[in-house]
Amino acid sequence: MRERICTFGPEQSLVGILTEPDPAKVLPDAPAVVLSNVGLNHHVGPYRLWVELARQLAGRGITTLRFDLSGLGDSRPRREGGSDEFQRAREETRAALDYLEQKKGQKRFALIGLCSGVDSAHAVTVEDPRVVGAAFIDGYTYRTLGYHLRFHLRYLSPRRWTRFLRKRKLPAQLREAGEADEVYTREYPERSQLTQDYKALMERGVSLCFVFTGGMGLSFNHERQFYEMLSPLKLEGRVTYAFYPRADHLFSVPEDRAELLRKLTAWTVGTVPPRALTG
Amino acid sequence: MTPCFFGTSERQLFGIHHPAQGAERATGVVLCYPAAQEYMLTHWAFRKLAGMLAREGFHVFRFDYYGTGDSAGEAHEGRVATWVQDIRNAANELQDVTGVQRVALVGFRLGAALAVRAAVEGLSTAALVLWEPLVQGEAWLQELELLQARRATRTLFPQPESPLEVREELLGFPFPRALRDDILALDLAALPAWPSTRTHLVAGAPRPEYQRLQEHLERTGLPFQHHLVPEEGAGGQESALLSNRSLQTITTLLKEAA
Repeated sequence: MRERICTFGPEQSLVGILTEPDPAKVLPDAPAVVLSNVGLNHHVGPYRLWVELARQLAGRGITTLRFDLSGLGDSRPRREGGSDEFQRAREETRAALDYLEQKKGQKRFALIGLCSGVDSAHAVTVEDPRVVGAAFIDGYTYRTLGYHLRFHLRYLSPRRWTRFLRKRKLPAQLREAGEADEVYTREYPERSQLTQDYKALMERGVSLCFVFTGGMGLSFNHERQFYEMLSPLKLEGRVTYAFYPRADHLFSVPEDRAELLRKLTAWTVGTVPPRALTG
Repeated sequence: MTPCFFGTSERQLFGIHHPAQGAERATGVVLCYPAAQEYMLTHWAFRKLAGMLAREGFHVFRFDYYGTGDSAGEAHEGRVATWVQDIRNAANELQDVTGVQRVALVGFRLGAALAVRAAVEGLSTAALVLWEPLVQGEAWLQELELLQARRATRTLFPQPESPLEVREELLGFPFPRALRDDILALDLAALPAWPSTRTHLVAGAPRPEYQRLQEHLERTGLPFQHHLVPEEGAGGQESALLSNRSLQTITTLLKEAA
């Protein structure tokens, strides 16, 4: 494995780390994987997730570029490019593909996005035919009838009651800080638009992987919900899917992280047939 | 910003040089990151601090320790002695690249304790800035364990059932027993010798351990200043990590010292 620094993109403002396998181990025709920021976390990823993924993929013969969008992490802000962060993220993700195509001769790409990173990964996957695979971790969710039924059943969960009582015992300062941290919102595309997008991607032959965690509990709470919320597409068996109800949004527990890395590596290598797995 | 890998090819470390803007100062600054989840929380603040110092004419270097960030090594391979050596290598790299004659060290939390160790072990330093420093390893571990308990109340996940030395994990990061033992052995207020340089302690709020450190340093007779920089906003550790006032204070201190 070899890691190199690269600078690219509009105004040469983007900084990334290119992780390449030993030449003898290169997996022919494997897509190059592109990763960028998760929220405000820099290109290393939360809990060093992207570094570990890139090095694992290199061990399987796959090249990865992890980079910072402009103004985040180690990338400079751009002077031009407008104030629309989403538009800039799309342009810069495409710039990463251009860089890998021009400098490394890569023609096929896989994008992996987590949380807010799903937005640009999804948009570029839809727009750019060079993208042959996309993994969305805690991406778009829509509440279904099954979700609402389970939402009320949670009051019967002993674990939830234990947590509630434990929280009451905490010093007030810690309790309030914890509650404030739970405020979190995102804007999703209309479900009809997303359904159209996924349909088009599958017709194009793009390999899709969806991962959801227990950290999405306010909008996603059971394994079947993924298939229910996109039921017209009949996705079962056609995409890679995993639900890890005990994992949190950033996979802060090492064992959860290891499982996610196994899942993403297997999906990228293409050795796992599409099927639903439980967490 | 100029990113680079430095060190040996088997053990390459990732660093970023922020070149001095305007009139260059003869003193450079090496920023010493904290560890584990504090590294994740403070990366942005360190980038901002590096930019502020560079605009004041300092060549600044920040870097990832072995086994952290983009540097080589597995997360479980972190050891205090290795990271102290990394600080020495980073200082040499900054001097090689820029020609600065002297180097000041700024360390946050564990990074502050590592900076002191590097200076005690012979790294010549123009100044030491200890930012919310880890003074006593045991207290630092207890504080992080309390944060871990808080995290468990915010989520559906159970409290850690085994002690740190058994589960070898702290706030989501591997924390092997050897590193725990290294940390437990750290106590800045009990060091028999202190680097012969000016030391600044920058903190958002008074703490008994800072008082202990101040008394210890006053006994050495070496130049020492304790700067209390009240936190902005609602308080708590996270706001201290991003406090602009702390960054401005550190920049001013180094300008005066250089």
